[in-house]
Amino acid sequence: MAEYSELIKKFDKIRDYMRDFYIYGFRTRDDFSIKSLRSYDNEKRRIESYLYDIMSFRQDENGKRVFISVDCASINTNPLYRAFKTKSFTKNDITLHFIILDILTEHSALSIPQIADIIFDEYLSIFQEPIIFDLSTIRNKLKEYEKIGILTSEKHGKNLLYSMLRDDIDINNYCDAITFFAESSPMGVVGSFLLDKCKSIQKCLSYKHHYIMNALDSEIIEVILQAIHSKRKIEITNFISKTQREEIVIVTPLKFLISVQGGRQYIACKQQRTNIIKNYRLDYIKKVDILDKDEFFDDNYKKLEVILANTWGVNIGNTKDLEKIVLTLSILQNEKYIVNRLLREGRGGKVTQIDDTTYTYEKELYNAQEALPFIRTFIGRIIKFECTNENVKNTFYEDLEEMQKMYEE
Amino acid sequence: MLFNEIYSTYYIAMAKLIEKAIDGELSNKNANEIINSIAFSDSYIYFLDNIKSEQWQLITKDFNTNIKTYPKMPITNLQKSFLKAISLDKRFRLFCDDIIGLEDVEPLYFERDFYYFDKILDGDPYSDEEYIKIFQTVLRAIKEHRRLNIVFRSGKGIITKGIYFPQKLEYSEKDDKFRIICSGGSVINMARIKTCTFGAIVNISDIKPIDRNESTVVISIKNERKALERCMLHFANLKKETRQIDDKFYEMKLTYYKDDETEVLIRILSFGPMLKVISPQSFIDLIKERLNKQKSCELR
Repeated sequence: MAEYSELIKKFDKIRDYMRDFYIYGFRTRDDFSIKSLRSYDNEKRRIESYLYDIMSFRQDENGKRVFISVDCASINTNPLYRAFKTKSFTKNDITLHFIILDILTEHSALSIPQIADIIFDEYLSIFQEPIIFDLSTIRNKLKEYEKIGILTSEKHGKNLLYSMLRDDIDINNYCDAITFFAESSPMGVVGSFLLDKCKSIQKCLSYKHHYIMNALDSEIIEVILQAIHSKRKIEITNFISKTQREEIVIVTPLKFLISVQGGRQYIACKQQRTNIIKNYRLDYIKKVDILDKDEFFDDNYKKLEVILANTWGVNIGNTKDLEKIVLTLSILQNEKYIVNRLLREGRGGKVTQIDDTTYTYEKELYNAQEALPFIRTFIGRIIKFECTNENVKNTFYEDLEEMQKMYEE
Repeated sequence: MLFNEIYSTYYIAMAKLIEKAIDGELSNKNANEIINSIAFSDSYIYFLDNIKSEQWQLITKDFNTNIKTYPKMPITNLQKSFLKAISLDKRFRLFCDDIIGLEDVEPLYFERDFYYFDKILDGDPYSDEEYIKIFQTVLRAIKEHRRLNIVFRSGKGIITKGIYFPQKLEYSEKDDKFRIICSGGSVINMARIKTCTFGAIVNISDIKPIDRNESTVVISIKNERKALERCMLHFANLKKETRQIDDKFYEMKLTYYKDDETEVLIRILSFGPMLKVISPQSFIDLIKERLNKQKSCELR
């Protein structure tokens, strides 16, 4: 039986638990029995250790419920980033990390045998039982660090000499910008790694409408970005919520579609099997592998851009027939802010003043159903709602009637 | 690779311990303090075990180190590509000029890789030189605890003049706007500021924490049309607590700032009959008011 460790080898396991504790927070230990209960106990213990300041518990007759509760407007840094700084390592990893960087700070260029000699002669002799590193262990670490971009190598005759990569960037000059983008960028966690190197960070910024849980998808975004930039296909392991099963699909990722009001993130892809454009929720994607190049990437990217001009959210319907919505509103002369809201939040829909207090809003969409939440925000002023798709119109009026009954009770 | 031990909290804490050991000042007591301030609540046990058993051969069990210089790590490729990506963002210039040394670096992402389909269209004018100047004045005032003489156009279009003590900048991802949160609860939209000049410095001892009134609302969720999941995600930015009532119904308690009440109200309305406010009565009355007004609209 493996001993419990605070650190983890892979992020994907803890990703699901953190998301559940943060988004839902009403499940008990038994509700997680589909996974192993030991796994639940270990992940819960780890999350408690990382996020002790924002974890809460509630005990009721059905058991103890763990949840993460945080007002995102009151925090300066995303606490979930802490989980990205928990990668496990071996005693060789940490020992070589600090020793190699120390050696290459002092020496300009050294071969692998030279580094090995210095490690043994100057660094490990003070320990009672020094670790014996073979040359291949040292070589692998040097290669790894060259790939990450902190070391560089150069051939000198038969020898490959390693040096520290010098950079002239003093990140302390950019701390304010990094602080801001660490929270507002879709890959903000990397900003958080940089902030760990800043000498002083001033807490002048806060964030509203901030969906911190999206950070949990950063690893997935990183790989998909690589695929997009190299115009490659990917194989994704995708969770289907309806069937509670996983599927493996091959797609070409084109663009991320992000909701700043609903907290959801998608990747718009061309599905290889069906040749249609489809969106996948990032939090449902469990694994991504990059495959070969897609020679039709540019054509599909253009096709997506055309589709996006007539979508409200992410549902692209059958992309054949456009549905038209027309909303007629009563807006008093001193309520210009409502007109502004139509213009600002109406995603390019046409706003027309009919008379002093009547306005219409029109838009054509592939799936008009998606606009209903926006339409409902005008309840109290809606004179008429029309849609070429009768089902959408009926849903709106039936829902409205139900709401009126609900509050009459 | 994003998930890598070189970015780990343990490595950061170890670097600090080594610095102390190089100075000859590392002890059991301050090692504990350093680890607790940087790492996690259980970390100290693991550090101590590994130091005492000399598994990590960097610090001996009597707190000496074999490392000669303060640990320093160059910026990785991933970090450089992130810096390059943010330096291409128009908001970057609010904080500083271009980063020199990234000329040959590929950005981690481009603006075109992301489409924010529900972002409000009239974001702040980040490329406007006057806006940048005002932004930097406000940021400096917050850092230096200075008052500001501000002239701005209010939401109702009235020109307002006053002395304010800015305490925080608030960025809304939905609105793509910055607001200034001032002492006393005033909130000013950055883009509405006409002029802004420095005033007196405020004594740190006189600074009071920002006090924004909080309210709560309890909502019943009917889990049809995936309402539970949509609602949990939609309100994930607010402090919330949820419990299951039965197979179909859930109850959620939301905490919000009182000055955001109208926004919370319309967010609840957007879910239609899937959400029902069950308390407080004052919030129920706000919903009823909208629904009654709606009835009279339909009669027009």
